Amino acid sequence: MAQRITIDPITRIEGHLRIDAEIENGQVNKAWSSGQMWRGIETILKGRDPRDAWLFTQRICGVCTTVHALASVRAVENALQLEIPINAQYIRNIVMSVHALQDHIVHFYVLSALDWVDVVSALSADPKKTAALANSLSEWPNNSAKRFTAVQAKVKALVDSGQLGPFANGYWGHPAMKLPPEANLMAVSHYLESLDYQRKATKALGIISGKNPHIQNLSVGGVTTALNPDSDSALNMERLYWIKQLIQEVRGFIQQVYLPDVVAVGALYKDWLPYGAGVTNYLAAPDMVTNSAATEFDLPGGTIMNGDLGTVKGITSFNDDYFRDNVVENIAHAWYKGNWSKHPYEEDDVPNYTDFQDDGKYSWIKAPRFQKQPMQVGPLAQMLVGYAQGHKSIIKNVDNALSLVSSVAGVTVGPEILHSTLGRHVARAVRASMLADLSLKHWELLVDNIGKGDLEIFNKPVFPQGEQQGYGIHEAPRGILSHWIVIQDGKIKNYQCVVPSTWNAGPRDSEGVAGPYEASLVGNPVADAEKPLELLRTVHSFDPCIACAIH
Amino acid sequence: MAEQIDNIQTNSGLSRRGFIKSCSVAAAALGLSETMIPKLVEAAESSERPTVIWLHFQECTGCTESLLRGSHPDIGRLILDIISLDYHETVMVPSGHQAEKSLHDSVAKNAGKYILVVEGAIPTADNGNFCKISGRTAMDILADVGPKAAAIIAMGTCASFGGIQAAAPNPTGAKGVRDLISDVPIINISGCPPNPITFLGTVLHYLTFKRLPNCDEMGRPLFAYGRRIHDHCERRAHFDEGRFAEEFGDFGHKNGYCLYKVGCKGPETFSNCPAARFNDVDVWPVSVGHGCVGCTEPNFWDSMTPFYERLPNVAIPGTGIVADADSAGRKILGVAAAAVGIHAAVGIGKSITNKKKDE
Amino acid sequence: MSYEIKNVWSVLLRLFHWSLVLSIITLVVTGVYINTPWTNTTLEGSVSFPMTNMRYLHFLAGYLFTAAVIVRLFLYIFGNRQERIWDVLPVTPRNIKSLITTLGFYTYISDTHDPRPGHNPLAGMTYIVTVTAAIFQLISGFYMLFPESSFWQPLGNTLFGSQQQGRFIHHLLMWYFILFAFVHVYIVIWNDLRTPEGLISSMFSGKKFKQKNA
Ligand code: HEM
Ligand code: HEM
Ligand code: NFV
Ligand code: SF4
Ligand code: SF4
Ligand code: F3S
Ligand SMILES: [Mg+2]
Repeated sequence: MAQRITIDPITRIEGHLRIDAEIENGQVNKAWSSGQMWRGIETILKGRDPRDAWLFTQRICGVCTTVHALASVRAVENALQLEIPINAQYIRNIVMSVHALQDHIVHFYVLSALDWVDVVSALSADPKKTAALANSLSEWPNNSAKRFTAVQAKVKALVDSGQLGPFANGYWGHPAMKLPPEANLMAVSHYLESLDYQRKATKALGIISGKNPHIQNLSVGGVTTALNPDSDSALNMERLYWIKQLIQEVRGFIQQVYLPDVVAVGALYKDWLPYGAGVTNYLAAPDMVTNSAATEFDLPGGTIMNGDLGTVKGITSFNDDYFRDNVVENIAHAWYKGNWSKHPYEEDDVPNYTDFQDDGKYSWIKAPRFQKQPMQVGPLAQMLVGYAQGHKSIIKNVDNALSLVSSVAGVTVGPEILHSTLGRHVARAVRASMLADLSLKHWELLVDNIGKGDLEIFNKPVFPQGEQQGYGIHEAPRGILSHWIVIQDGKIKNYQCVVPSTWNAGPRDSEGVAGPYEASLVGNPVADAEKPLELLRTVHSFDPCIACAIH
Repeated sequence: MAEQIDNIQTNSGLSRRGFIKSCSVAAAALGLSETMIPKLVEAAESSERPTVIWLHFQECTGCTESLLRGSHPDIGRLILDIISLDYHETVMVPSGHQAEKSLHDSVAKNAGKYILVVEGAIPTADNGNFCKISGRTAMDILADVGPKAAAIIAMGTCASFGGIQAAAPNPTGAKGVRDLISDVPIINISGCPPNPITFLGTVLHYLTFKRLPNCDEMGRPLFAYGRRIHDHCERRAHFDEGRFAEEFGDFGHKNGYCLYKVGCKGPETFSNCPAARFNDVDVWPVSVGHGCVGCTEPNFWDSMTPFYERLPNVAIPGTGIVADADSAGRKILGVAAAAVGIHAAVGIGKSITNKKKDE
Repeated sequence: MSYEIKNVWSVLLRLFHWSLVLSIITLVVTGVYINTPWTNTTLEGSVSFPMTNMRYLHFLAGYLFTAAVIVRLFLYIFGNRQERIWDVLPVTPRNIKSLITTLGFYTYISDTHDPRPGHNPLAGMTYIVTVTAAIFQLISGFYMLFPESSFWQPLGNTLFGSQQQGRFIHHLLMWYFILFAFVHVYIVIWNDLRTPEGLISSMFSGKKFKQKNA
């Protein structure tokens, strides 16, 4: 007989997620993903000034702060057909990439590492051997026996205090925990260090954006970060070099600690490589814009269907019809009145809570569909879409990571292993590494342009009478984000956000087809249904953000 | 062992020297004298760490994220050395039943002693069904966990005043903690998100003096919300001397002039932003050329919008016309002028006919 | 026709009236400046403080305005017969009758008007509304002027909610005063032309004329 379990709350994510699963013979055969909190931000936006929308939508999420801000200004600019100065593009790119560095670091260490790493086991590690292990993976100067000893003492003090705080009731000693004590100690040490490096990224973001979370330097038409090498009240060379220094330090951590750690976890858990593929249709947005018109990008977008890289089709500008015309949201199983599939411009949602109905409505999350298909979004989608399109630097970076995994695991693996729970972690780490390089590249582009005397940052938006429609896309840390706006006489008539976690965490659609979380859980092993650690692994690998998914 | 820890010069929450330095900064932020530092350190490092339970309701986790940016003390030091963070969904390891167990155990063990931090608003419409955790509504959880706390910290504008989801038309009936709980001391650390310095300063104040700091009318600690932004802003001289940015990117904007004419709400907002600044890099919104949007004030999503104008709009009832205060005023004055014109014309008409009658 | 001259407005009332007129004109001009400082400059290091000066004038006029309002409140209770509040409140049979007559007169329905030494109740009510608006205006003003004060902060928060809402009300009330002044001056002139009491000069001299045989 199948056993039904409910995990609520799912922790170490953003927001209120409930996962239900039916377990039979030690594995999942059916799963439900349910978002548990609705605020109505799309409703609240109606009637307001489109220039204000980005400040509202940014509050959809404070974890992926910046991303709804960017998508929103792009949507309004798209509706007005307003180009922004190239400096504004570069500044937005730096915002995007630096934030992503922070977000990816926090996701791996704070939000998911403890699914794979047993903190208690670290107590029995030999610090010297730990150092040897760490040094075999990278040249990070902090990987010393001295530091590992201190960290171990810290863990011991915590355990001895009897006040385990957030670590109480963890999955320590769980049968699915497989890392040797030394790998555990190394990871715990890097967990602590990650807290410092994520903070460095936020400092760089702060210099350019005034504060974060929730930056305050955008505006429809460009950015407000004034450029003036001759002023103390603008972004001048002193501040720019401070940003560069911070990004370089963070890049060091990503390339010498985060990426190697992910590779190590992937290789040491190689029996996990077959699990968690789920929906293998992929969708990604192009981003890191390199021209004012937003038709050229450093990171590619597009779609792949049925896991077949040969089906790849590009999304090549911020005004791409292929994307614009193929998106709908379905509410057959979501807590809104009715049962429809609508294009975002046409949506009008009325909340309608019914409690959890296995075969009826069971989530606040809608089910977005692309050409009627569920799509998986996120760093993995972007890496695969780029890989399939022959994007040189994606191919180089992905192949590098795969060959590292192969050498640590002792078996040769190719891109096919990426369709998995661990594949999502690997793709995210690769993307972080690429974005670290790209943010420095865009720093150079900005500085070069300032050097030419161009200090433009803003083109004033003008709102004509009548109706305009527009959408803005952005490749957020969790995948493709799109905002859709209808403006009537300078006021918002309709506003809809179709968010990465909506794509991934959405429920079944009216055809009964499951969303990516639900599909990826099917087939997952479960050693102890009372402590469903393995389900957390797969769910966490998507980097859930439920405030985003519902808004 | 302790010495080894002292010797490690990284920032990852391991160095004691770094921590004492942090305490001095916190002391300065709180306006305490240097002699208080040992007391702060002692309070912060006492053997039994005080329990903190952190609940998330209708929120975006931006308030939690802001804590990740705090540096004195940093998050590692905070949760390993200073407090015992027994429940916090974003960082805690266990999920589901195991997470629920952490909450119940801690509430039972520390009843009357723990600090409760609430992040997010509480929806009250439709029986509170808009936010559920483990089958219970936010309303139920707060009613259960709130009254057993020693003090409640409402973290962020959402928990303090309802925040973004309470903006018109407030579709979920979202409310702040103070609207629902009254018999426990509550302090509002407003801001969207608040500066982590303010939160940490409040916690250290509480741990040191065993009471909450003094507050203003809105329940916000005076050490952080005692003054208006405008009265401490570095651009104030430009305001007084009549130099304003008219548009982003113009001459005035490039040279750091006052942002009043592009909508800055510093004159109406109480916060320490220009003094405390953010992210340890001496910035705040105005320093990057954007006006303050008033994020520490109740209702700011309605009262401070449109953000790029000085004043809110006026909805003229029944007409659906939304206008700014001055064009509304001019319209009404125009109607009055027309009425006066007609009245005068009727009067003149009447006196002409009366004269004719008299003849 | 012969007239009897009656003293109707005390010196204090006339002083109140013209202080109010002067302060309101100053407050509207400086208030609009505070809202939209139109003398934007890029001159640095000059010794001109346009915003400071305008705000200073605004606050000076604000004090004059406040003094005038206090004087009027005093006169509502301790003033002469015409100045007291009971003289205009439409609660006595005399005042209710007068209100109806006045409404008919203003709308050209009838030509009879009620010659009174004081205000007709319609005017009187308008002035009460105006003084009430003035009280809110000065509270919101002082609330903005002394935001940290332990007197004005709770009062303003209770009445307006926040600084920004207080400022918004303050600004909207400005439009009430502009509207009032406009209609008021029109009605005063209109009455002066249609009736024989010498309304306009009364605010200068304090005296009204009364038809002896009327
Ligand atoms: C008829 C009377 C008054 C009028 C028409 C008036 C008008 C105005 C206007 C239009 C503003 C600008 C608000 C904005 O749109 O941003 C303002 C600001 C202000 N008014 Fe008044 N006001 C009046 C009376 C007063 C009084 C009695 C006071 C008390 C002292 C006062 C104190 C202030 C203050 C403190 C400000 C804010 C100045 C600043 O923040 O720089 N006002 N007033
Ligand atoms: C900003 C402009 C003005 C304001 C705010 C204003 C305000 C007032 C107020 C409040 C009263 C009632 C006095 C009372 O409380 O007993 C009043 C009465 C009067 N005002 Fe003005 N006034 C203004 C301009 C003028 C001007 C320009 C004139 C002359 C042309 C004028 C002539 C009168 C007269 C004749 C009365 C007595 C009306 C009556 O007995 O019914 N006012 N005014
Ligand atoms: N899903 C999502 Fe976000 C991201 N990345 C949004 O666009 O997390 Ni808060
Ligand atoms: S106050 Fe702002 S940052 Fe904090 S939870 Fe609410 S919306 Fe997010
Ligand atoms: S920038 Fe804002 S806070 Fe600063 S002086 Fe100008 S109006 Fe005031
Ligand atoms: S927007 Fe908020 S962060 Fe400070 S400057 Fe204004 S209060
Ligand atoms: Mg949506």
